[in-house]
Amino acid sequence: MNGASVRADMDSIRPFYGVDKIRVPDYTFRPPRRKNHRGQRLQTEHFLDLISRLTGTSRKAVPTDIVLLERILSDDTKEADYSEFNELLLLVNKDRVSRPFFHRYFGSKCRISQLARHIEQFQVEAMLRYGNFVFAYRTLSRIQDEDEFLAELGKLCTERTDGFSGRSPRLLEIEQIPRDDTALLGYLSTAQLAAELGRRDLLKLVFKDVGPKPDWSTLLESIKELTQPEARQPVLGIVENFRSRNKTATVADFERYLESAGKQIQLRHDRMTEVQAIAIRNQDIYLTWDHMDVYFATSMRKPWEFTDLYDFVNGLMKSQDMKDLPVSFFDPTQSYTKERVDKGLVESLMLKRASCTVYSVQDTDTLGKDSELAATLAQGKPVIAYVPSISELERMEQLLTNDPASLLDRLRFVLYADERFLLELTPQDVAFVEEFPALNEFTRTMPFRSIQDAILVDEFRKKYENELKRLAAIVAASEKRIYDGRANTLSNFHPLGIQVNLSTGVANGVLVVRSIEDCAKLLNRVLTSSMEFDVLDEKAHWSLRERISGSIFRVVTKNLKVNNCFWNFYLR
Amino acid sequence: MGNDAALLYAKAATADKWETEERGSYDVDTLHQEYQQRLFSEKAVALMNAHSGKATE
Repeated sequence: MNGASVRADMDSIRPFYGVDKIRVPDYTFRPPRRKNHRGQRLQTEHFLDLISRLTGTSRKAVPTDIVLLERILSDDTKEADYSEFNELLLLVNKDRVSRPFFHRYFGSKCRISQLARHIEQFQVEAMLRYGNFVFAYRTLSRIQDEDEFLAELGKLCTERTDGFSGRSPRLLEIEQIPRDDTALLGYLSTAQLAAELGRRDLLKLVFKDVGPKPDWSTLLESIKELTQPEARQPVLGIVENFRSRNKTATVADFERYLESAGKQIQLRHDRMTEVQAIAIRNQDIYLTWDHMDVYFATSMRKPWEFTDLYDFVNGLMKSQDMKDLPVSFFDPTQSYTKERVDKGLVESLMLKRASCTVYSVQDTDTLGKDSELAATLAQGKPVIAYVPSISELERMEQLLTNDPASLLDRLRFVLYADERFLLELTPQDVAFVEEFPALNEFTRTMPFRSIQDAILVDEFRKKYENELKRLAAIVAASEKRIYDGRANTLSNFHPLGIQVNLSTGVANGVLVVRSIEDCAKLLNRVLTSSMEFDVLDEKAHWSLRERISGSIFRVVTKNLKVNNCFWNFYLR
Repeated sequence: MGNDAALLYAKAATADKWETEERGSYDVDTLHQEYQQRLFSEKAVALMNAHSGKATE
């Protein structure tokens, strides 16, 4: 192979993943200014360290080797070619490397002073592919054939996608469900509406039972006769709530209200049926797509969780960094199945098929969402965890657009999730949260919870504007604490923040981002194989940190016992 | 107010624990029928049948 062809080959196999942009903060080989004996020794020591990093094994040079090595290193401008580099390796009692190995990481020739940078390129790919330096060196340095070398290195290091240009358009697109209808896909909403349909039916029967012009006591007596005891109270609650909101109302007023509310509930049922049918068809379409790039892991029960995720997915996919990529993604706010078992199977299939998972971190952990994160990591695929970075003022404004019942629900969730809630509040705010009975009463006395009386909601908002602002500010501050804590835990403390690819043993870390913009940039890089990394020599391990998130993507422990035992069960 | 107590802070008077139970299937019409069975007394069922099911629209 002559020099020109070597250069051409080098261009074709230049490492991806931005390894050519790696920062080399501490390892650059800097020759001492004066060539005294001490400076020479430092150069030699540094060289031995670098070779140790390359091979993943400790130094093996003896004093007589070092004397000879110093002779070679005295010329810091020297360039080593493939043969000379192998002579250096043998001199320090390390295995030689193959031509493909040398060409990929060192080019046709390598200046001794640039050795650190080249070795880091190897380290990046060793961590990406093997999660291990020793095995990577032993495997890759022995492969003599260029194609075999690239095949062994694998797609993760060698395949850069070019914007999905080779793909055919999808045969079918999903039918978009509007934002405000997505909550109709919730299992809780479905059960709640089914119950309210049942209570509406019962109350209609009551009016048939009591005859014309009944009084309240006749009505209540009929309710007791027509209901089973364990389900009676909510029906009585509807009457009580109506009367508490309408102090002078007659039974005839209630009948008219029931007629109107019953129609609204029926309309909601009809829309739910329609939306769920669309979402079932969407799920069938998702299942047929030949490509699946992104799975959104989430847990949605409360209505606002659907709209929050809808806003996130749309914000992400329409962002500058994502809008031009023809990405196929599974959006759980657009999909539905009535059967729990099928839902689990569909989600598991999507986790298997998608190239990566975007995990939308919410205010509480759930088994489903955490399992999806673990399942993705265990397959060796990237997980991007989006943890919103909250501006308290902006968040307060957003919360004020919620209806009062949702705001109260959010308060209940942060009370559940924020361990520091009461500790962080002033005594006055604690008293306020405890003694804001109007909101509690307003929510408690809604006769039917699946429909809202817009006039009453507006009246309540106007009457309690300042109190609602204060409550929204308290909830926003609590959400900020929750999300900051969860980002910190996931990035730095949670043992499951780094999990192992069960097939290969390669440690795989969650990439935590705090803004939709960063999430979009990172997702673009993940999907186009253009992620960039820094290799960090940390106290207990080597880490490969992704640059946008600053998160650990790969790790190699320095604990010899853990390292040896671990790899005995994966590589032997 | 403890966090647990706060979770009960705004429990709606018209809620039934049946609504929050985990179940294998979530078809609204099937659940509607299931809830009628939970809610309706024998007299209510008889009354509904007498009206030939028109009471449920």
